[in-house]
Amino acid sequence: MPCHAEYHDHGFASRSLRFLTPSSAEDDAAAPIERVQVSCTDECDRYRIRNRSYQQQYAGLYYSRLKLMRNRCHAAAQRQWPQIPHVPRLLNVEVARTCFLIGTFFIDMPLKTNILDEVTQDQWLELPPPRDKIFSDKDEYKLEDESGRVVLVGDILESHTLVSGVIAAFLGHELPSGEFHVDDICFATPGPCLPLPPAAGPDAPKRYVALVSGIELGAPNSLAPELDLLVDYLCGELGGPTDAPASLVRVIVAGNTLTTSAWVALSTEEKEMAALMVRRREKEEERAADGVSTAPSAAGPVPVLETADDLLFQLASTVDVDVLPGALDPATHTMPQQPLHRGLFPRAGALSTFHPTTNPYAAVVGGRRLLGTSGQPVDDIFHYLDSDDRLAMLERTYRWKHVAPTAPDTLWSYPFPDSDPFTIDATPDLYFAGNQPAFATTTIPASPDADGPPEHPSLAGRSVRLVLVPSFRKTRQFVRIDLDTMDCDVISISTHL
Amino acid sequence: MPNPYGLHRAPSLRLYGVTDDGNAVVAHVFGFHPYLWVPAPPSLRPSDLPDLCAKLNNVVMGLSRWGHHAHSTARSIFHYTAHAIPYLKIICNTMDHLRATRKLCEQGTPLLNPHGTMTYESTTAFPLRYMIDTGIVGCSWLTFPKGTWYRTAPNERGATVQLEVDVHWKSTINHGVDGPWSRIAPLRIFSFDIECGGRRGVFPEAQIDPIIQIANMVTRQGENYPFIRNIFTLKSCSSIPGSHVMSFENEADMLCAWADFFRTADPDIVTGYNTQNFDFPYLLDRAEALKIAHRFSFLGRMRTVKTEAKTSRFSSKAFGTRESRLINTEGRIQFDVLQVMLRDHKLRSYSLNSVSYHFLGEQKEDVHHSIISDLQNGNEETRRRLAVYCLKDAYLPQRLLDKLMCIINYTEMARVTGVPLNYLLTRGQQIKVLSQLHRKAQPENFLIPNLPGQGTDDQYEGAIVIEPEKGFYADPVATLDFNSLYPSIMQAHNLCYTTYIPDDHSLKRNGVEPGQYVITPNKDRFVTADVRKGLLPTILEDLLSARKRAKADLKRETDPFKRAVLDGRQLALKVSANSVYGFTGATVGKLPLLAISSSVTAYGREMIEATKAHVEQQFTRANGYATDAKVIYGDTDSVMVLFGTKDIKEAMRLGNEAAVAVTKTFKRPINLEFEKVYWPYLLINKKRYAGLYWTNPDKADKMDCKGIETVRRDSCALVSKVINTSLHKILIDRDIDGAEQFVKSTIRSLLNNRIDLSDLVISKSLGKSEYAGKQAHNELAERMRKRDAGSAPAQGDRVAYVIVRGARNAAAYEKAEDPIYVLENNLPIDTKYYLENQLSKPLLRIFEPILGPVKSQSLLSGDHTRGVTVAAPTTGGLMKFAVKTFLCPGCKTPLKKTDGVVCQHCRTQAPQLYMKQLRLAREAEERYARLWTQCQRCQGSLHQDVICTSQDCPIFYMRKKSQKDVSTAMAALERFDTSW
Repeated sequence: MPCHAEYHDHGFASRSLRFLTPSSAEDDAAAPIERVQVSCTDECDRYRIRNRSYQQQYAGLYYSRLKLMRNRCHAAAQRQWPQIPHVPRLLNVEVARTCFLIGTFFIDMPLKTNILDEVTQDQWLELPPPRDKIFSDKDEYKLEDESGRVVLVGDILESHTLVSGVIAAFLGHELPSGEFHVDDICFATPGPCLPLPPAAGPDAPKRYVALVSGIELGAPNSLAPELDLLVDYLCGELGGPTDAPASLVRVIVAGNTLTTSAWVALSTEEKEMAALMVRRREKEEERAADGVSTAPSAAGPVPVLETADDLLFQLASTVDVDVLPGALDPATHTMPQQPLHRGLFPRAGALSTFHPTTNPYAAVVGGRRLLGTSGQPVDDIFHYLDSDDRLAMLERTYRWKHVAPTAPDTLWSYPFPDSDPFTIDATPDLYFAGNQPAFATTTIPASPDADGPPEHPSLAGRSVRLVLVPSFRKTRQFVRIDLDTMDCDVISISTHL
Repeated sequence: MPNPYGLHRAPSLRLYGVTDDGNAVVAHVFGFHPYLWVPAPPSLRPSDLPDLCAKLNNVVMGLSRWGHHAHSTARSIFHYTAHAIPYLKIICNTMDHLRATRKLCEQGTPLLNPHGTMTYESTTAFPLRYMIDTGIVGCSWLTFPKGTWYRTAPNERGATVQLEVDVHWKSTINHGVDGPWSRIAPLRIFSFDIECGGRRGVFPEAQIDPIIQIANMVTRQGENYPFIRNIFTLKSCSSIPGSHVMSFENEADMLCAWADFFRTADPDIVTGYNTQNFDFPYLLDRAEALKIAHRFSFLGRMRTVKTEAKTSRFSSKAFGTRESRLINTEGRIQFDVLQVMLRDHKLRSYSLNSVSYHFLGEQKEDVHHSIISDLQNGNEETRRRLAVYCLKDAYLPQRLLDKLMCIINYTEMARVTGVPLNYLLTRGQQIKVLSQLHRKAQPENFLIPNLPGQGTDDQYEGAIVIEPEKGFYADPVATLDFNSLYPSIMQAHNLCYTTYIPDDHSLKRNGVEPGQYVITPNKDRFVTADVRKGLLPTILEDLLSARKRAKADLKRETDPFKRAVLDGRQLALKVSANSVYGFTGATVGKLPLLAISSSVTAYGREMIEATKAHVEQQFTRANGYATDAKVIYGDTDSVMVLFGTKDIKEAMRLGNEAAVAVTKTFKRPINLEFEKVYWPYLLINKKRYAGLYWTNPDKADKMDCKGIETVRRDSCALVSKVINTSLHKILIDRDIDGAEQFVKSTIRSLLNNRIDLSDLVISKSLGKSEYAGKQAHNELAERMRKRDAGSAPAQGDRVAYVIVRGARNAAAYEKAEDPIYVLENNLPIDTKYYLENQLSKPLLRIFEPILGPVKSQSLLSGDHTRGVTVAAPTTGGLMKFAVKTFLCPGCKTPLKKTDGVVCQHCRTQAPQLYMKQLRLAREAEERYARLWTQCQRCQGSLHQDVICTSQDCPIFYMRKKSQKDVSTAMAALERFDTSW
């Protein structure tokens, strides 16, 4: 079968790498590749849940978040509005006096999905499908701290596109009605950055990290040929002269290696329900639900797991692989997602180069700090904002210094009793979100006012590379980052000539 | 000038009102006196009157110089009489004199009639008497023309209002209620709520437990938001944006300050939730306990009248008997929203929370009274939290009033029936009819007798029901309805007190000829309208034509506020028209005349029969119709006809045709109308049916269910869910098979413990403990008190329980258990009880007409009932002796110590088993997250734990259960963590 891979640089111009037959690549595979070695420190520990308990509620998480972020917001506010007094308790705010407040921002949105609607709904009425966007004219902006709540008003709130759960400082004054009119907003100061690695010499070997997400094994219209090419490429068995395979130092699989319907076994009850649903749909002359028929039985083996194991084994045999769980993977569901169980992948799991990690993911690779998620926080924020610019949403979460502000309100999350692991305390070099509909990237200055003195000496002149990692199933693309320059390219795989 | 009329000790009436600008006015009305009528002794001549007057004054009243008599001819309203006879009008100075005079007349006096005589209009309430005689109706506009009123002399002033005046009773101008005068006054509405500190396990007692917060909202009628929002708190409280917080260190100071505020706000209407039976009595009792009643307990508009709570029993056929407290707040109307709800709406629960959820679609946080003390004893932040909750409780009644347009509807009812607004809240249906009767009787010189209380148990035959032909009808069933059936019968046949001929003697005496009267199917005789038009038919005519006008106006009106007024009016008119019939039949009432009510129902029965006969005769194949029509059911005022057509348009056409044809055979204004088609139609029994309701052939309006368990409180939510869903599947989806499947799968879920606990909760309110029989909720409350007195339900609380598995043959009351306790201890549910005692009857009722007795029985006993799962309790019984071992999740054999999480044989299955558990864990996780974040949102605070204990909330038990579920599921999942 004739194949080719397309190579894009980050300017999106493409060039094609042609090769004759895959078999020639197979021959090369015999010779082991000497990969460039880089150091790697896993920093996911903060996302691991220990001593699980559910006797507590969510208040503790919000409380800790505010406590953790308050000083940083205060520092930022004092930089930005040096003359303005801070009112430490929301409820002590005085009418007409300009000041700034720090608290948890919250939006009351009538369109948020509400479990009460489901519970009280008579069972026969099908619920309207979840909305793509949940903002409306009836939204109310609130600011809350330990002492209470005030209603926020002001045009800036409409344009600034904040979401629930963000901690920020709000400059403004109280109106006679008791509402607080907001004129400006500022967010927590960025944390320190790792020192720049020494500049690599012209002959030094390149060091790349590959980011793949959304392989979604088990989903309909499988991408077997493309996947083969992907694996071959990442294993260094493919590629042109500039793509020295040895230069790929790490592969990060940013979630959704499998798809849910492929591993979730249905109970008898659910099969009945599913059959009933199908029957009803047929009645309405609609197509049968996809995915249902491909589901394995409870007792039978799960073939798709073997495929996944095989894929991960191949990868991990040649390169270090970090695998984040995603929304569709066989892992816990709420944020932070805990690592995939090694036992699910007996062959890959036996390798020391196979690293199941948490989602969110944090690590220092070759002197660069990497931070990212399998995409759920951005997907959730997407519902809140009147915009389709997901890259801007990712950027905002960085500005807010919080990976997942909408957790736990609309992004389901573990009820941490006295911590909030989602805050961004150290400034990353790379910040990514997986499983996005399209690739996009940009760099932003690490410090919000690039002109002023940096909040932290290490931040001077530094920037953060933001990447939306595209879903491989949807785009047949993955991303490559140069650890020395932090340049980013997207690589498309196609089996069509 | 001390008194403009020189009527120093004369009785005076007080009119309370507001001007268009919202200024409160009280008018002392002078010169009007109570009176009664008695038949004049036959020998009495007009010239004897002054003498009789003097004698009466001497003998009866002694003290008074104001007794006064007039002589006039009139008729008793009771029974037809051809000629008027002389009556004496005895005018008294005060109500006390009136009562004395009435007693004297009734017992007999040589001055009038030694054997005693019937008195007339002798018990009419004095204010109503005044309003009748002047033609003033409730909630209407009056003008006191310039020069006819005087500012009350300062030393005589007793009211707290802005303008206090004296007027003579004849000098007011009454504007009626039409046109520009239909507007509603800018009444000031005061909504409040109190919180009491309590001791653990005891309902607050005013003698001991302090009032800690009082939240208040003051709103002008017609405006959307309160213009005052404040709260009085005991001890400091952090500020609340948008509300004025006033803190006091001393409870007595707080109460006095509140009373001052209340008097300054000077509300016309006071509202709240259960203020009548809780908040007001508690405030008054508390003031008594703190010995500040002399400063506090003057909450009315009259300075000298102390506000007190009296216990009263209110009995009415329509509303049943209720014991309640009566609190006098002169000049302020108490509009307790709970009372309004109890009167006007049939709900599953009347807690403020569930009522708000029902009407406003809003939940409210419910703080258990045992937590309230903790919050109060905390710091200013915790007290603030309580205050926010209290403010919400004060605001919700106001919002309910607005949403349900209570003020508007009650105002219109007062106007239509002519009674003061407060009568509608404190008295039954009868006074409304009586007021109208008085107003009609007076101009025609009829007098209303004061009948001695009868209290007979005479029963008259009720409405007819044509025996239903039970079954499921897949073809359209047309429904023909009589429009206002009972009022129209009374109109058509001139049925009234004034037209009734009780016996042959009276027939002869009054010279009624044959042909001048009708004999009703009940064998009663009434003269025709040609001889004398009845008062009741006239009242009904007025009411119904006024309703027609209101409806016509409603159609034209575009302003939403005016539309609301008109809609309220037409509704009030309809209700009033229908209550006239009930008035004549109320045997414990003021003026029962069973001949009228029995005749009305007899006519009704006859007409239903006649309609059935007519339809079945006319719509036949023999007469050229496609099929023979059949009446399958008839009820009070409607007849269901199965025309046999499958086409809904055709059914509607035939329905119209039949309605017109049958109407022609009846006397005007009786009108049979085709209203709707049921298609399909499930006829279960008398007054029990369900169907899809069509008024236009293209789209069904709704699913209509009558008499089917959906709101009964003593059944669990599962019943109404199953019934509703089944009906929906049968009627709307027309999928009987699907309905069967659904019922079976629900029963299977029930038997396998997969039904959510909140669907199984039954609740009853805890009555007085001395009544405690062997009732489930009483027994349970007792047990809960033993476990923890603090959180146990107190008297008046609703006790929620589920039935758990108990010893064999244990009675149901022994098996009731607190749902929370059940969740915590994993007690097994008595699923059999739910199947047999809750589900089976209502299900069979629905399915029997469709499936037949044999097949419907199989719903409850088929294969799907074989698999049963029982939860193992974690406490009690044998569990104390049990040793806990883990089972292999694959084959359920006990695991050896050397095994990991699965046994040797299942090792290859480990990934599948892991993923199975994972799936459960993911579901549990998500459920926990969704439920608890919802509560966090609902309570309006992110940084504080949820403390709500609202058992009415649909997710209350779910929330608790999810905590347990997710812990269990995660623990099971984490057992896999080691490796397998």
